[in-house]
Amino acid sequence: MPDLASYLVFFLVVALTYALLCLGLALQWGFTGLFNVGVAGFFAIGAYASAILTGPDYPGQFGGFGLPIPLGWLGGMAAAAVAALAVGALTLRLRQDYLAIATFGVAVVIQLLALNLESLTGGAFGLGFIPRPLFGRFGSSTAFNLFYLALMTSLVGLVWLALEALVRGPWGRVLRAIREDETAAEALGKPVFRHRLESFAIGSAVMGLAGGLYASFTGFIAPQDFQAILTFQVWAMLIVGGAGSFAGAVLGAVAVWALWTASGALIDQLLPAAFQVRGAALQIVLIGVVLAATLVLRPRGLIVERAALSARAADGR
Amino acid sequence: MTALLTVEGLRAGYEPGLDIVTGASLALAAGEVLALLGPNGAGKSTLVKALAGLVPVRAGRIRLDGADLGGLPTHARIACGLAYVPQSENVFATLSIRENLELAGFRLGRALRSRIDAVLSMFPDLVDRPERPAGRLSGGQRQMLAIAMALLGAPRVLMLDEPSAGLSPRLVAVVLARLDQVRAAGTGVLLVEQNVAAALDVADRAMVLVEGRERHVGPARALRGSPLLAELFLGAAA
Amino acid sequence: MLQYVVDGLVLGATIGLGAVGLTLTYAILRFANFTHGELLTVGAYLTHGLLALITGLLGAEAVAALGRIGPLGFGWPLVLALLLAIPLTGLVALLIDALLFARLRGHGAAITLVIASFGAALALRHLVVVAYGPNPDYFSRAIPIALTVVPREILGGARLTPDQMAVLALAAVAVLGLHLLLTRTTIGRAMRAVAESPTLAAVIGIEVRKVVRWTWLIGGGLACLAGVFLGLTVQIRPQMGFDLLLPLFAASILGGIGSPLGAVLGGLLIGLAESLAVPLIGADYRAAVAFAVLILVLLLRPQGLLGRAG
Repeated sequence: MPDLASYLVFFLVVALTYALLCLGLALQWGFTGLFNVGVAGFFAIGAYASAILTGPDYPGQFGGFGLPIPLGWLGGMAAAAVAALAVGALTLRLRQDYLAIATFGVAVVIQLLALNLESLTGGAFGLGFIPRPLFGRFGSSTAFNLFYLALMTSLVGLVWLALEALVRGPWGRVLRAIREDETAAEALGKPVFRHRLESFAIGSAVMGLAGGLYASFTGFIAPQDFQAILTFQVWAMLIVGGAGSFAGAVLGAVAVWALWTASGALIDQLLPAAFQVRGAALQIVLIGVVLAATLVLRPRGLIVERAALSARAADGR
Repeated sequence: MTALLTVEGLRAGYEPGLDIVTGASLALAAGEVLALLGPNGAGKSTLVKALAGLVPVRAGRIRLDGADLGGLPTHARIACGLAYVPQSENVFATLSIRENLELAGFRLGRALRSRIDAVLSMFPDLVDRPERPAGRLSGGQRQMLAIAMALLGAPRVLMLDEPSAGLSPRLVAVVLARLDQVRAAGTGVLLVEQNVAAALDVADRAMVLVEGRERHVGPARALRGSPLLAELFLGAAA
Repeated sequence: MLQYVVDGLVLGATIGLGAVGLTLTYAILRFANFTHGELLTVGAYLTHGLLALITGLLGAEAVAALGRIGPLGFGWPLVLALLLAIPLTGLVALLIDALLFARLRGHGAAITLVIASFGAALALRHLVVVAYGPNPDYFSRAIPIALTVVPREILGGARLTPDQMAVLALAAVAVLGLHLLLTRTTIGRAMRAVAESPTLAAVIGIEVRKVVRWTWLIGGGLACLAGVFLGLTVQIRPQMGFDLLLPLFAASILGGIGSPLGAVLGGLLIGLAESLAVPLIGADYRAAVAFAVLILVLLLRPQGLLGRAG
């Protein structure tokens, strides 16, 4: 397989990991109005939980369960959901930006634990030798990547369909009623708090799944994979794609990741080695400007604005 | 009678295309109390909020003593001699009575002391313990503080949004009786009220608003016991 | 033991001053501004840049001849740079508001502002990296000599560098000035009014937009001061403000949103808690202390210490 094609496969696997994070955030933000600034934290919880459950016995560390990989993913989802339930139970009754601050705190604390709780996370060196599904069956890493792309595509599709069914069903109708008019929904006896909490937990579970899949794709995770910049990227993807639809989430993820990768490559090519760090910083500034400009100029998103609107129209709104 | 405040063809609403006030006109003379009546949702509160510059105005003219208020931000309208007492959250709950009054009269400079004394003489209930936080006041005292704050700047027009809301009948009479003094000072009063009987007791004229425009204007006395009121308030709003 | 208290107070003074602007803009503009931490960074780097500019203009020899102020690690050029950087940081805050937040305030939910501020924070922080590079820096290369303020016999004693003492004294002056501004001046009273209720403030004739501008200027200026404090007592890094963001939020919420003196008190308590936690849980986790305090406040008293109930 030529280089470019194999790079494209790798690119798409990463883009689809972001797409999963975006789908979780779309449920939380786009459909429930919950502001999660801790995406990186929930992603990390899923990744570490899955790595510990499926991974080998690291000397002097907790773990060595060697569970089947899909069980690790489920464990990652469950761990992220439990963390979300705890944070949500504390903050979802309060003003909505308290959730933002609390989730930001979660991400900071998870980062600290990842760096310092060596007996669980391996500290700054991270966790290696995380089992990759059927890796031995494939002759080359390119073949494995191709297989993983197929796996990711089907999982993203599955999650997308499941979320779509969820928001179009009775649960989603209540969610929408809450978004439209919280007081009215409450007056009608809808359990507003419970629905919010469920939405927050389900969205975080999807982020946890993304973490698990990421861990068993790369086989190695470390604290620097889960920094605030990741949360920022996912938000940029969702805002650019259009927060009101899952299609926007997936397309936004692929588009912004393409932009990110391309601008990174360009900076690699253009700038001398001494300025690479500044170049990478410039990249973040550019994405920040794109995000801010989108919010100011096209608050419904660049890509799927029309689709989101007509989907709402189709719901009889 | 020359009008102090004139409003012509006012259209206003919170969202574009959803006007709540749909072409209202009124004229208010100095020293006059005009009661603004109407069924729930008729747009009475929205009308006074629009006059105060708190709700976007789509069309129409607002003139106070010849000056055009349209397009001015709220604080500039207040500076022109308009005063507005909101229905709820009309005092700073964490600040004391004294601080509330000082804040409301912040632009008075040296005249502040004497103005506070002058206004407080109208509301003896507020005088005895000026350090009480406004949030701890009873409903009636709170309402009087709010009116006192609005009167500090010696406004030419005072707009009150349902000052009787949540008060006992006895207190309603006490609060509204203060309007006689306001009127005597030459201030025009625009009084939005659900409590029709109490409003007609103090008002000189009354205007009935239905679906965002005036349905009837006339002397308050004539409206008392009129079948028009019964018709309007029993839901025949169309 | 006492040393941890003293260190906590120095850190707490920095957090407290930094949180004043955050709590005011939170109350007046009704959104959690994630860009606020970057204002500390911008303030510190502006001061650093101006110091370099002043040194360049005067010539390094002249600056060296001026020497340092008494036992302090810095001289008058730094003070001049700081005095210039304070209004400039306020202007940066105003500029961000004009370019971004003011355009979003009119339409859409308040929470959109939070996303925008989160994006702007990352952009701003990396703009500093683009301009200055990623490496830490210092205002002064002088090696600080700590003085004994409390002898060892009393609770283990406490030592402070002259710069730390200057930070504590300047913080006290700034808080006093802020208190006078808020209680004695018209603009200060108007700020309290708008923080409590923007609509009612407008109704009593306050020009809310003017108050908002002053809030950014004052909040930005104090953030600059806090950033320079951090630079004097720790170091200047592009990450410095971002790393302090969680303590800043915790201090604002602990003190009660909208209460500037509450923010200072909250900052001191957070600083003390972080410092006193070091012997218990180790320095690695001190950043988690602010989070723990935040969660406790949200659980037990969400309106904060000096905030209004309900």
